[in-house]
Amino acid sequence: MGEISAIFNVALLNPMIAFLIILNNLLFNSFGLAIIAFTIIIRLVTLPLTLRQLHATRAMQTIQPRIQEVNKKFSDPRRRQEEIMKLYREAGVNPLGCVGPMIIQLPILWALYDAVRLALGTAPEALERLSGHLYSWSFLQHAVPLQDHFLGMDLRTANWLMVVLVAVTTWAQTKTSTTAVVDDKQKAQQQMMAYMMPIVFAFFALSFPSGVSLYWVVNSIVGVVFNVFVYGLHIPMMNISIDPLLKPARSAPALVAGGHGDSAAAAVTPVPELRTTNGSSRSKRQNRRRRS
Amino acid sequence: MFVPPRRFTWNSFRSSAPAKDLSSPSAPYVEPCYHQPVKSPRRLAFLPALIALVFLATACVGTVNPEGWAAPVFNGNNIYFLQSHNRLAQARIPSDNKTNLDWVFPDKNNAEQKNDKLQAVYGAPVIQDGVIYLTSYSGGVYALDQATGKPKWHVTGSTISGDVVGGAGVGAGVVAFGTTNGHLYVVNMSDGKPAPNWPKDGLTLSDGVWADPIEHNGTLYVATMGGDLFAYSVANGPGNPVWGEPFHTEGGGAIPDLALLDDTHLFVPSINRHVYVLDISNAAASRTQVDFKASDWVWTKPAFKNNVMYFGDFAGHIYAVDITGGPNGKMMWPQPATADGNRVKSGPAIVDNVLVVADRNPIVRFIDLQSGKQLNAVPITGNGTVRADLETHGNEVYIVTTSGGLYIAHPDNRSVTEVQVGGRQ
Repeated sequence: MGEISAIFNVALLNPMIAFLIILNNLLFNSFGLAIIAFTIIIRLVTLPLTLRQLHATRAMQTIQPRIQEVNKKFSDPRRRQEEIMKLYREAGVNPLGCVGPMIIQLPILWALYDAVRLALGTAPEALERLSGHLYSWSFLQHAVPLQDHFLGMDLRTANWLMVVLVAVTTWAQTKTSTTAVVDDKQKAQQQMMAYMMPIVFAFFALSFPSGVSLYWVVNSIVGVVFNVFVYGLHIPMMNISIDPLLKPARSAPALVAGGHGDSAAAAVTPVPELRTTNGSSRSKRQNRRRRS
Repeated sequence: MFVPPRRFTWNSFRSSAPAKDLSSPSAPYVEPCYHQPVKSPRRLAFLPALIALVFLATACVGTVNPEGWAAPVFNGNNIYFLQSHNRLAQARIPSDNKTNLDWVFPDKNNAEQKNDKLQAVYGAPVIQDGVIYLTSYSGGVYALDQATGKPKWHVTGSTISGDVVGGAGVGAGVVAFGTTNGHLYVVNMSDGKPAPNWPKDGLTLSDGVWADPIEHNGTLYVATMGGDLFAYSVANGPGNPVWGEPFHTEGGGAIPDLALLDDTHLFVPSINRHVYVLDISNAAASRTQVDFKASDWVWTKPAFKNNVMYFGDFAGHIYAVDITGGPNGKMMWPQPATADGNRVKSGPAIVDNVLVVADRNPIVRFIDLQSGKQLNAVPITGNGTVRADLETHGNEVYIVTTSGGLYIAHPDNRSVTEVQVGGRQ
């Protein structure tokens, strides 16, 4: 455990703290601005992973009706599993495709969070702890302790404005990452997620330094932007409809027509048509199967 | 009869409840994969469990709370120490490794003290004329009656801008303390009200004050985390500083601690790895007598004997530097003693020819003062770590841990014993 922690510190946490303090020095010794810039830069660096995750998510969405169909058709669990795996293969979808990039991003996000928390130093003990994570470069050493106020807000303590912003931006991110469904249970679940997540994170923000909340708010805003780019944005109440700006290289295999929730106009392509012709996205295993 | 365990697969898990019929393949179904449909109310049970897990994780990675690192203090037959991070205790100096508490502050059984909260105390209590002056991180500054532990006056935390990390500088009729927001407050020892010629809302400095202000011969020395060290006349107030220009550390390295070595020398450690010794014999200006460079941050008070200062750094090195040995000081040992890479935050103590050092592990080390060789190392287990400066009393060295444990190091036989504290808990 100690070795994993040491690797995590050396490979991720310490460089991130150094980068955060460099940004602080460049941005007028404003730690608040450093957090904002840092979060945006890290999100941009991990953008390929994020896009892969969002595209995989969308691909999974599109074959979901076929999975439902298979579930309904086959009662034998083994047969059903085989059919679903076959469906995945034919659609060129990796069932873990949306989880993998997310898992890769987790240590990065964790380190980012930890870097903000450590550099902020909510107590004298935190500054002592920070010493173990700082490189010996003089411009890093001389920068601490960092300026702990931003826009009149003490970044070391919880702030009500940040609590509200955390709730609002988390809600926005959850809303933009979910799409219209027709099933009542799914609708209920989505609604519950949309309201539970902001409440949970607002609760966290009540006990976290507002510097960490600031990171979360910026992170969520960037997340909303990415979601809109990939999923588009549809708010019927406000008559807002933005189509996805970033589309996957391969066309979506299942959902063909209709807007969100427009069941009458929607149609699903039959399974055979799910075969992809794009060789680059086909695995060697898939090619061997095709040849045989 | 043996029942084989059920094999769970991804798909069997998904199909444990009947899938809802979406009527036809043409039915639109759009759902992110990380929002899989809930097939049965039973699966909703995972949600509270997940939330509980997140709460637990939050608790584990939560923010660092102030704990304090106040050193113990002796007065007469009594020892004063922080029994926990929010409670000061008076006890008789232990005999046979046992002692009983006389009083604690705040006393939870005393209704008058129910609103008194220390939260964390970083500066050692200062005792003068039967009064204990105590700073706390966000609970303000207290003057306590030494005999009873009852407050005589209290500067409340809400009237102070920022938190108090340093201790109190007491002398010349005033109590001075600085805050993390860069305010210096100077109040009367008698009533806690602002001292004459000092601003009521505190003097605003360029950066936060974490080191104890030091009052010496009517001059107040105040260091900031921006690397400045100011000298003010207590009587005249800030309008006419004693030094025309403050002392600056190289590159503005923060000064987290400050100590008086003797009547004419000030120990100024910095997290820029330098340790400065200032000659303050000339009241009009500071003069850097020694500029010694350590391997890492120096955030401690030194032990001082025969013109040699002993201190540790955050790289786990322990130095012996003769302050009369030239502009960079003179290392007295062929190489620094080592704490095996463990940070040394607490100030060491000297008994006869033995230097006692406690590192953050925490391990108590007995080091030969002449050669720098380690004579013994005794780990302390199960009672937090050691950040408080060690204090000598007689032939023993007292150690307080962050969990309020009280230990005695015996340099004569290089052993460490824990003190059993009884009485009012």
